[in-house]
Amino acid sequence: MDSKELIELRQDKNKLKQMYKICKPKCFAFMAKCFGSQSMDDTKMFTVFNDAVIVLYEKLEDPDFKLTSSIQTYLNSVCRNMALEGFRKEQKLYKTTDRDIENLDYSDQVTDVLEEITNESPYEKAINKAFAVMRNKGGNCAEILTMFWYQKASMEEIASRFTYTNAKNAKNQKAKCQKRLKDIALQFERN
Amino acid sequence: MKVITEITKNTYELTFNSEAEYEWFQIGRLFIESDDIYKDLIENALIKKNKSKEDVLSWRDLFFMEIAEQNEHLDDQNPLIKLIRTLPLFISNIKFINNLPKATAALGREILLDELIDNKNADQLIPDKLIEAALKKKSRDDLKRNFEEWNAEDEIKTKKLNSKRSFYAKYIAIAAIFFIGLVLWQPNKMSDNQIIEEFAYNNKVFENILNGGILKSKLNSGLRGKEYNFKGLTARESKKAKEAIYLVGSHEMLAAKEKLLNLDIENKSNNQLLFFLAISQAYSGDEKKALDNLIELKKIENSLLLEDVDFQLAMLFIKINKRGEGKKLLNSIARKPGKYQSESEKILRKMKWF
Repeated sequence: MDSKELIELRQDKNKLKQMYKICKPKCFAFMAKCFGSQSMDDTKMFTVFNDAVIVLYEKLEDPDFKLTSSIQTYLNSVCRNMALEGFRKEQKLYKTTDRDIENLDYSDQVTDVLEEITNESPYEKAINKAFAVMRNKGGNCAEILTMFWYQKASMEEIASRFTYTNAKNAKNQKAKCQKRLKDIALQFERN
Repeated sequence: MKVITEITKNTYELTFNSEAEYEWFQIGRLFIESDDIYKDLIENALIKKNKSKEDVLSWRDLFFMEIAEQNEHLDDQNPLIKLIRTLPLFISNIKFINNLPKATAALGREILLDELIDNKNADQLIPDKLIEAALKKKSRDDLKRNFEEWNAEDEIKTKKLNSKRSFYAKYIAIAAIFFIGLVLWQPNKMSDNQIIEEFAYNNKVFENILNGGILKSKLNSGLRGKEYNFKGLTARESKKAKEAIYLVGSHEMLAAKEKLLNLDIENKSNNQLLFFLAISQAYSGDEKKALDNLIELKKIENSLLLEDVDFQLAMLFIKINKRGEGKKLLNSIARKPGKYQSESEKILRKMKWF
């Protein structure tokens, strides 16, 4: 898959959705084959698969990210990594029917897993609390900021999503939301 | 400098919600160099006197936030930019801006998955439907083959009887065969699968679950301005939980289950939503988990959901071929007055004898 296609996948939600639907059953089958239904039930597979798609989505943002295999193969590998990591964390024994896993050489494999969101500094914690307050109070601010900072959406896309008349209005709204978030975070930091 | 001029002008319009013709670059420069920005702007007559100090400070805040956001694209060699980067206001804003992608990641991931999963006609549902249809067709074909075999047997028996038995004996035998066929066939009865399809989550049952409209009015309360939030859930999570309940009501169990699992309902101490999760699990292939959740819910004393839990447990027992336990539970529901009494009586009447 070339870089143009990867960019399209990041920018076009329909393409991402299409990929999600096509890859999901194959990833489930792959996990079932690797670990068996005793070790992984549907719910677990569902969580792992969703996390793997997020890993891919966030990787697409990285200009150095290159996909040397197909998306399906990449997602399978990430699912396998994350399932194994999950077993390790839970200290759970698993049976595998996949010889590749038994002889897994990590230096030669895709090792991507979902980056955990941790808030270590008091400032990070304050921003997160402020963001939670903003979400709970309702309104569009939390989603506007998320579209801009996480999804890297353009002002035109934000305007269209929230039915602002033009990109300039969306930009104004985003700036107001951002300032509000900063003010709330400041209060949390002071306390 | 063009960037400073534009940012000063744009943030003015944003703060005061109006356009003006000022010396934007000079104002921007003062934002960077002045220790008392309000005094300097007024004394130098750079803005009209009717602006409050608070608004001017807010304007300067927005100016520095915008500068911080465009930091990567600013000219590193420009002395003014070099100066900006040493200012505490800039430093605090750049710190804030750098944290935003991380702060929005959790919600971003959640929204992304919602968008990918949410689709009433999602392709992921098709295979299940196809399998269901294929199984239905196969069992119908099997049944038709059985009918043919039974008819053939009847014909052979009838011929034998004709030749060997007396006139009266022949009719007695036919009557006996007809009776046995009737017992096997039970024409007025429904199979367990049919019972589940018709009764387990029909509109009446769903209305019962919504507690005669009490929960329904809460679910619709957002239309009148005040949203109803579920215990232990944020406003956004509650919105999703409501969507999941509507999915259960429209029999889209897989989508409902995925939505509720995404909300981590099993760890949220919300019995009402756990109950909806159990229903969605029961009819999307997770019968064991549904059973575990319903049994947990049944343990709760004085629960308002007790009748609903009992009825759904009975249905689930029938679904997993524990029809004896299902029947027993239905009999106990049918014996006492309650919202599932008539429905349970009806099911018991329709159930096959064995």
